[in-house]
Amino acid sequence: MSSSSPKKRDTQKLSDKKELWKSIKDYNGDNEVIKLKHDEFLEGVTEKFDSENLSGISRRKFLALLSASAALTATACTDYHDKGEIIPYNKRPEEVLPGIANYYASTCNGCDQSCGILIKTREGRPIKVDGNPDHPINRGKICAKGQASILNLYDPERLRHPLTRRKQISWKSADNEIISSLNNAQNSNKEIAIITNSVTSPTTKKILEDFVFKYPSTKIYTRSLVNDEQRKSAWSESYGTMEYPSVKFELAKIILSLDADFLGNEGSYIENMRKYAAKRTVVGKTDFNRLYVAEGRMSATGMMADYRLRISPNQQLEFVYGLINELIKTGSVITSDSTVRAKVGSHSLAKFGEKEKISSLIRDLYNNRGQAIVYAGDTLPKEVHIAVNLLNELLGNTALYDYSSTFKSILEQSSDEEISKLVDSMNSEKIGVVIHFDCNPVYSLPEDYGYKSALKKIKTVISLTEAENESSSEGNYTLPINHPFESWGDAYVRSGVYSLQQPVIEPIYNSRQKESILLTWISGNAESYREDSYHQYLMNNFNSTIYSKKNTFADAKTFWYSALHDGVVLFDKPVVQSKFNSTALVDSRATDNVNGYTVHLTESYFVADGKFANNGWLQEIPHPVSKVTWDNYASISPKLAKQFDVEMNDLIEISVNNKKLILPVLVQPGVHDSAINIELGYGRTVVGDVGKNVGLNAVTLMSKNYSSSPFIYDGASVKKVGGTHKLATTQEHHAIDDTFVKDIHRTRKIIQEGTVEKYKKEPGFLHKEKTELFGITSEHEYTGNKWAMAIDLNKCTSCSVCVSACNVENNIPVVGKDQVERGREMQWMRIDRYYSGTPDDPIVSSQPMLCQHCDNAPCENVCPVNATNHSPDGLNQMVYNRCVGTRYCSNNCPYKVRRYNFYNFRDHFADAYYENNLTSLVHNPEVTVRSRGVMEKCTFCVQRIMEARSNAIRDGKELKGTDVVTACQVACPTTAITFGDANDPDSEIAKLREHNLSYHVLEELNVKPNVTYIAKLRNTRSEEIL
Amino acid sequence: MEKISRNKFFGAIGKGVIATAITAALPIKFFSNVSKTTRQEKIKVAVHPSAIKRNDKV
Repeated sequence: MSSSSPKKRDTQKLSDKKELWKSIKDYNGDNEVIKLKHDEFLEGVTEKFDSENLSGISRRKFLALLSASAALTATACTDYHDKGEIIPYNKRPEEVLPGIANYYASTCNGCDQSCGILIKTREGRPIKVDGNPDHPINRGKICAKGQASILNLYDPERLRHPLTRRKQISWKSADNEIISSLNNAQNSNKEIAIITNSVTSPTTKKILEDFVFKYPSTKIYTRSLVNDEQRKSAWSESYGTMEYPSVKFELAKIILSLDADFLGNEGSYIENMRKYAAKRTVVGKTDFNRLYVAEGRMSATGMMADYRLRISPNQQLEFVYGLINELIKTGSVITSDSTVRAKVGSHSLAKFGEKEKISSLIRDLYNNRGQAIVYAGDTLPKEVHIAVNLLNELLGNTALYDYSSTFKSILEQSSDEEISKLVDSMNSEKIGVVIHFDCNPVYSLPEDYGYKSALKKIKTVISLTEAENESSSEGNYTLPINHPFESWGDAYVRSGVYSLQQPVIEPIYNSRQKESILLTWISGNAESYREDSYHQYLMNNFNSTIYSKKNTFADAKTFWYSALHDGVVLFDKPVVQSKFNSTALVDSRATDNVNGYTVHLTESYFVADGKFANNGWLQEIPHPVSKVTWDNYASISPKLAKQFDVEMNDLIEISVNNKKLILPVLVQPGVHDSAINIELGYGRTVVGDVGKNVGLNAVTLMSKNYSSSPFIYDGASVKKVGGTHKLATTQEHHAIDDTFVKDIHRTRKIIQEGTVEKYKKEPGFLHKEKTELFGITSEHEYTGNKWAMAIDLNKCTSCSVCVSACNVENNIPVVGKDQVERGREMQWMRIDRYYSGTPDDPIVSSQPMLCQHCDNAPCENVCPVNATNHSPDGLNQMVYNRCVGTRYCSNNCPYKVRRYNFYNFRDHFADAYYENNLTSLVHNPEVTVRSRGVMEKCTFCVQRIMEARSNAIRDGKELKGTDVVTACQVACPTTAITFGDANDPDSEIAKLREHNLSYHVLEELNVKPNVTYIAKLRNTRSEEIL
Repeated sequence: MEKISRNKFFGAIGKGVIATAITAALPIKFFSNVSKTTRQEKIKVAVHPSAIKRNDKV
């Protein structure tokens, strides 16, 4: 490889914005990236083996060592006593049939959306979670966190017993001591503070009320690190109620998203994705919505934009006022409200540049009045939300508000003043007992509240938690609570939708349902605890609040069982609409004179608010935008990076409001030049070995004295501090050698795109240049089923739910950050992300990539032991027992989708963290757990095909393509993935393979892949992609 | 090279086999990983008796 300086890109060529690049290095033609594209593996993947370095050893010594090691091995292998024996059930539980899965409906507790879930169990142990198809909100889909949450059930760091000051204590002693402390606090007129995250359960709320009744000095404080409080407050001031409606995105022709990641991780994003994708279908009538995104960071939603504007989060209010003013000035909307005119009159859009895009936006908003929606992000200040409410009012877009499905609050979030008062009371020792009710305020409250130091003054601090955390480590009682899959519960977060949660496994450890613990304390008698106390309480509450209102002929018990079976109860809810109150509008602050940078804090896509920090699967899913794993970072624009002379991995110090944080840099194309985006949820210090000290805690930069939003801070300064912290990014891993293909064959892009206009004019534009391909191998005829997949790139949002589902279904190991750095991540699916255009204004394309199950698979020809071969139904299959690990197949795969077990990763990762009797229970028994030295890759979920086949044989039916649903397909929130029998001409897959927009990646190689991609159409005004 | 008699050779093998057999019978595990053994406890897995399955509607 020559050491010449990076080649300069042809700017003329770039101006057509068709050339794809994966990173800034790639864009600059860095030699390192070119080398990566040519080479099969990253440097260091294959360690050097130098026989010269071996010590000389005599034959005699060798044989002596061999004999000794044989003897030692024999000794070591005697540990068979504890392995258990495979014996049939002596008394088989009624519900369990060995080998047959059972499914249970329940409700997810991963976030406040309370999606309906279906839990699959095998021989009594939960092994997979998917969405509940009967649930009207998420309709059979759940997010990546929900998919991977099953690993938390089997987390070896879960608490096994109640603890007091790190010592084991019995439940009875703990309850007696705590009841006595509660009575003491009550008798001495000291407050009992219960601190909790958002409460979504009406029955939990009732128990908390009962607790206050029993101990009247109790106060409840509700606080979540990430919440929709700004949106709720704005709605309350605009319409006089905290209950805000959901949005009918499926009817919106124009969507303007203002720093709202509504397709990424904000609000009910699984529901939003489904609704958004309904207007991105190319089957039948092509009736696309148009997505404008105005944002300072680069979000997953921003990647989907047809038009993207770079606007710093602190300028959003000016931008919305400017839009309103422009619409009023041009007579597009008419308002006689003098308050509105006074507030927006002085605002102009000129400062935002991007004239062409903004005028297109204004025209679209005006022309589609009543069929467009403007949507602001949860992190934006209340004022922006009020202005957005006004804009939607003026344009008649309120027609897209769904008042039949409003977002409800069971318990309102405590205000900043209430939290400050709590801390003051703690400091002045007015509080006798603090109960952390499944929450972690020491981690999630900004430091300037002084919560941690105030906690030291409290005599009795009790934490109800699944595993030790920052708050429990400061207390004196740590009580283990059940995992949601071991718990009863209910949720009422959307009007008319009541969800039920049921336990599917008995508590694995000596833990208790958190509500049952409170019930025991309410009774005042430690002996009163019964395992089913909360079950009974929930049923009674269900009967009095739900059954009694349902007017059904069924008796209460039957109705309860039926509700548990379905997981959800639906009822009608009266629709109430209110009038907009324009006095809620506030003056916009001028941001022209604001010095420094704007720090924007957002929730992590996969570890959320830190709740999933100890989940290896989630830590290892590449970030949808940056592709970084196992870390957070300061995401800054290329221009800002140049200004501070920093590159990726360099450390910078960010200072704001006298708070400082040193973070590694990630140079992110498309970020506003004055914005710095940092994700919350990292930097946990008291957590299991997986999540400890992963990333940095961005709460450090948060303050109780924020100016407009707790997530946005102006006037930040940045300093290069020297040193680096290596981020493990998969951005340039598994790069497809496109230069090689271009040199030999006609140019066929990996990403094929067009515009709606172009497609309407010329539906066959994609295949204009297609030529006949010739092969040297004879065609194999598939007479029965032929399995194939299609992926619609118009619908793919890079959410990575498919990756998470595949991890769980196929027992994919966690490899750890060091191995990801070496390019050894094991996920069978990856979402490739490409940029085109310029680093300032990039256009982003995403493409899920997995084994293409080629008919002429190049991997099969080179396997010396026939470990990879072809099945009669078109699968490119792996025989693990034959594989000797030559990796020839991986070398020969043009799609780079094969994964090699360089170690037994379960044993290798974090001191065998996931190699234990408990975590082994998460494995899907239908899928082999691979060990060191074996190659693996996507199997098209062959175990599901086999199950469907065996069912078809049992029922005497013919196996149909629709009988098989792969794990990624069932998980995809936008139904972008279709799987089936390509030989069935009436099947959806067969039609998609013949679609005008269908293409194969690297088709010129003539390997005949069986994964078909549907080219992405952008809904721009011209026939060209902007 | 030192010569070893047939008698001595089999004697050594015999002693080795006896030693291995005795060591194997001992309850001590010489080569088990300490950090792993702490996690190798018996796990109770039981279906919750009150759960209502729905195999008919998946």
